[in-house]
Amino acid sequence: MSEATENKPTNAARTMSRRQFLADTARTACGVGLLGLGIGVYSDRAGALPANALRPPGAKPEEDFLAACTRCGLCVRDCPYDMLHLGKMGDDVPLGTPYFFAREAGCEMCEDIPCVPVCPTGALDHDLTNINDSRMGLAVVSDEETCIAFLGLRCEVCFNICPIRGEAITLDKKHNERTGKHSLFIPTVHSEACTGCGKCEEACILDEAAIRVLPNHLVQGKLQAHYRKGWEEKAKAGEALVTPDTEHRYNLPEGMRYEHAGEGLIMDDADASKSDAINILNRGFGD
Amino acid sequence: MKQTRREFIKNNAIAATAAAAGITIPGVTIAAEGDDGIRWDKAACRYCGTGCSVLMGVKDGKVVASQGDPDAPVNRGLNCIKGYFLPKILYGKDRLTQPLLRKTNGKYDKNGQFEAVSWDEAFKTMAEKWIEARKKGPKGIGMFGSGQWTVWEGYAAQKLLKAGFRSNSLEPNARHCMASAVGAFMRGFGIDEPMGCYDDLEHADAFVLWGANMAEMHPILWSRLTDTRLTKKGCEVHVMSTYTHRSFELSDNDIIFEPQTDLAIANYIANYIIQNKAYNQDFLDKNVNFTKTPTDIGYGLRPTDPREKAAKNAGKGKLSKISFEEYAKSVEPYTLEYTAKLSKVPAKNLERLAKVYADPNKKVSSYWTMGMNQHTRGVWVNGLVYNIHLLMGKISEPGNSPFSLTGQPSACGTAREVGTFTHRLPADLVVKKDAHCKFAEKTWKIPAGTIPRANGKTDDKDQTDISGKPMGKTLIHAVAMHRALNDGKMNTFWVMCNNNLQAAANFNDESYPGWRNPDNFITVSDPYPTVSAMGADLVLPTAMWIEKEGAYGNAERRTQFWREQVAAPGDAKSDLWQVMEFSKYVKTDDVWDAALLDANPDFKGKTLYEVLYANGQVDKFPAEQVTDDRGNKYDNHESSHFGFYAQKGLFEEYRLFNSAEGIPKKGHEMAEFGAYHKARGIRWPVVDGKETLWRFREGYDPHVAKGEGVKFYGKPDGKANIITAPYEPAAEPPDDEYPLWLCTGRVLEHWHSGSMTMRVPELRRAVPDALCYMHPKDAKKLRLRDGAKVKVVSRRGEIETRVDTRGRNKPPQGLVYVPWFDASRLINKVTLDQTDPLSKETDYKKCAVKVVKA
Amino acid sequence: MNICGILVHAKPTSFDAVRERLLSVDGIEIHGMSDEGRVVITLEEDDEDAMSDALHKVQTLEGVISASMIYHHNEDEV
Repeated sequence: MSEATENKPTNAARTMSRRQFLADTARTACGVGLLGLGIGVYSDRAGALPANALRPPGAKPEEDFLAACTRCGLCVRDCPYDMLHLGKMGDDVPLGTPYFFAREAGCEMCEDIPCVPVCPTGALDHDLTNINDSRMGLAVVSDEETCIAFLGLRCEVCFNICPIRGEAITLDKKHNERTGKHSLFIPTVHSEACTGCGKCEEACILDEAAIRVLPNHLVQGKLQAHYRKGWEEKAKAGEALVTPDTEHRYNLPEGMRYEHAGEGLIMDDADASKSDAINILNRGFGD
Repeated sequence: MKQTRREFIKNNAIAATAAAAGITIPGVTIAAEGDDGIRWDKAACRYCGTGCSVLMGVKDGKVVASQGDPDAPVNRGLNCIKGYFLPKILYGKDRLTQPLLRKTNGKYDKNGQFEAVSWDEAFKTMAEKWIEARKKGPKGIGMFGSGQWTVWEGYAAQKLLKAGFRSNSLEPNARHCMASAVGAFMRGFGIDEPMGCYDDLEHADAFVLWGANMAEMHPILWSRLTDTRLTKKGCEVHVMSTYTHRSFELSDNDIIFEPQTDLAIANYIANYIIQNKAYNQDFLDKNVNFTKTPTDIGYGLRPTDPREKAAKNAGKGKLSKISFEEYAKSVEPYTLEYTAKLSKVPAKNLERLAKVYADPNKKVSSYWTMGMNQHTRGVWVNGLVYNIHLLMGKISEPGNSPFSLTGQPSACGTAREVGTFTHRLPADLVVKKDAHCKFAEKTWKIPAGTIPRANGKTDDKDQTDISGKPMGKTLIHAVAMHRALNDGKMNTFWVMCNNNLQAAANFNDESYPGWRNPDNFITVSDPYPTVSAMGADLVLPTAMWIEKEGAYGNAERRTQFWREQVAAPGDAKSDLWQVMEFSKYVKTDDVWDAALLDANPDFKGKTLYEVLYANGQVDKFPAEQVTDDRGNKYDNHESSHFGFYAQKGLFEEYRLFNSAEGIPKKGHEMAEFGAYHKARGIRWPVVDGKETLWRFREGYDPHVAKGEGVKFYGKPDGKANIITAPYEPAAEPPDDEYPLWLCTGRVLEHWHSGSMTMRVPELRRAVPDALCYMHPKDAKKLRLRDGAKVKVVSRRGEIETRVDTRGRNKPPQGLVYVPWFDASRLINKVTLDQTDPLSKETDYKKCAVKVVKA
Repeated sequence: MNICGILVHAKPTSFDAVRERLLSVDGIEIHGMSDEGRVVITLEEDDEDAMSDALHKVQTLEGVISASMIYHHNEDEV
């Protein structure tokens, strides 16, 4: 909660008691002991989860999730692939809460999302009915030096295994400067489609994955609120946001055109001057 | 307020809890801002000469959003990092909102503290000082304007000084930035500004940077150049500089040369072309004259300086014709061997560069900015590059372009096209020519003989000054202004839209003592408390950028307009308002001589405002509600104050200089006022509604008739000048005591003196301090570690900063680089006020320093 | 001044009774309920001890299965 930052400074003892409280509730799995609850203890919770631990589909933002999850373990029970685990005593993951590590096994993205409806509290959002809408984390190409696609090698395993094919990961084609005659196929992740299922990290062929799935807040940048991407705004509006340009006219030799907001100078027929009959005949049929 | 805050928190509590419960509660959401109600309008970016177009989003009278303009041909929706943060430059916490005058006990006092005063008191005090100072002669007063002025601000100031105060003491800061380029255009082609346009970036096969770090200083153009390099087969990039900078990341041919030896390199290339008979004989026969320029011309220092005394032809530049053979002979000494030795550039790199120019099948575009302009031989070296292009005929067509880039958003549109220099009038007219002055006087509807001629004579007779004495010589350039202030010869100085106390060279010996000279009254108009404002006696709070209706002209002759989109804070007023309003406080009788007034009794007792702006021409268009094509309404504070559409009136009067029938110099035609509000910039000359992309070539340029091929119509015979000039050494090379060259310049994140960008917290955090970039071996010799505190010391002064041996600029041994944006360490305490003796532009790139542990 | 948002899970069978009992606690407002028995309440108290007491009371009410604090804001003066 944004308001949490405005709270009075937390003192460590209270924080501890809150953690203790969470552990206790996990043990009992029902009935919540609110006694001993400190005041203003919410600001430090986001960091409680290890960076590579991901929550099941539909999980609320971490703070809300921890508050709503009753540690019942039903989601883990109902996962047909057994890739979800419950936090155990001594784990970095809060006790009794569900998680998975992408490199071990990613989410298989079941169409019926069996883990979600069984959640008794809405910690996993029941409104999630299309698995493609889930956001468990976000893939990020974390090492361009070892990812062999950046070397020009044809790999594309992450692209190929991605369940949101062609949308969550695309291959951006770039000129291979070194060879001068090949292309690079650079995997590029698109947050508007990536569910964070982790299959790409699981599948990455390197000894240590060069693509990783991490909780969104650890990955994503945020544009300053004032800034808009002009080309997107225009596409959204379907027209220029301000004054459509009056027609521009140019002084140009024959055979040349000029595209104002496009290619610029276009030489339609650079040989326009030589398009008389004799020149056309003498040009022959080419090679 | 209490209730509202409580409700707000409670609302958030409910929203968060409901979200966790998966319940929707009508009317409760965590507050998020939508884009609704944002009014978008276009503007030209506030910073450099690239001229990107941006869309600014205004809500409740404040800029809340921005984007690159996707329809703008220059930037296609992109911005550099400075452009990304444009809205924030308006909202620095320390905006000036009221006029401030130094006072003690309620009265003006040069040594007093700043106190808030009314505009009326400010202008009354100022007018008194200006009228008094003007009695000394036309150089008793001075105004220092800007390549960031809007077109009409420059034009209004031009009128105020030259026609109102009858003084040519008007200079723009563009003198420090573009004057050498202008000098070379006028000498070579007889008309200012590049023949090509940015489309050259897509059509060239090779690019040569001659002293421009485009990667940082023209980021969006660099992105276009990079794309061409990456996608066009065989495209190559040659980068020349005195130190390695970010543009070298794309370079195919790195050329780090000893400062000043670019003169020799250019001559070597010409020599190579001639030796290999690669030149375009047909082009030369038809289009080129060969000339030479006087040599040993000094360094624009004070005449008392031994280096000036020693110069045989100090300040001389009259061209004399020579033959092709004489020209060829003049470049003959610049052999590969000699040039490589002098410049310290490996011979193979030089030869590769020469071959690119000499290859008839490669289209070459050359780009340069301050590396070549801020040069004690700036006009020469600009010309030497034109020589190469002219020898090959690689000019005035797509991809073949010698292109001088500008550093300011309207260095071209305002400083150069309006001509806010001491020697210029609008549209390339000059006060040296009696006929040009007469045309201006007629156009401005003022008596013949009002404008001071350069030599103080009209029809070969002396012009009389207010003192009754002859005017005498009237020109005074920027650096001379500071010297005149220092000497007490100029007593009032108005600095507008720039930060000259931070920007001018030799702060300690010239600028600062000049500004604080007890005889002088310094006015600074600025939105922020800059170094200049601190050095002033009167500070005028200024409405900036889109707080007023404006127009800029970029480096490719593109003129762009914007509307007033938000109101300025407090009592801040635009430069246009200030110039026009101030003119109400001065009468013709105060500053014109009696004979002129007796001969023209209608002008007696008139305020300068009545003579210059309420002249039946500028005030021709009544104030109107400014609206766009979607019906959005915009304020125009100048219109509502003066009662007429001032911007339109000034622009239409200005057009009489460049677009009317029977004007002295053709080739600068512009479209009418209204057309620019409807377009994303139009490139002049605009003839019959058509804009011009490449000049001087048939088909592209309407001023070149069918069958003429190429015509450099700025010159009477239609031919351009190849001007030979030799290598001459710099004014202050390193020696035993000061063993290092100092080069100063900019960084990507900050624009010029940082008065805007240093107020954007993110940009300040990105680059908070000016560092001293140094070669690791030089640092090691001085036992300095990266990050060590040092003093950079010259004969004139010193600053303290930290050493950087790993950063973006990598100087060779023997040179250090320090940016000048940092107001807390003024590198211009260290620099030398040397200029090109022809263009009078300061050389900030070469002086001798030592670096010592602090 | 403290404002809390609390998610209460109530036995669906005893909704109305639970609502009455919740409202009997000082500082509590009910903002929404779901058919499955989830109740969104806010609790306002000036004093931290009073806050703790109230929370305890909610948690021990008959028909309440659990109560989770989802949101908490604390400041001196609002």
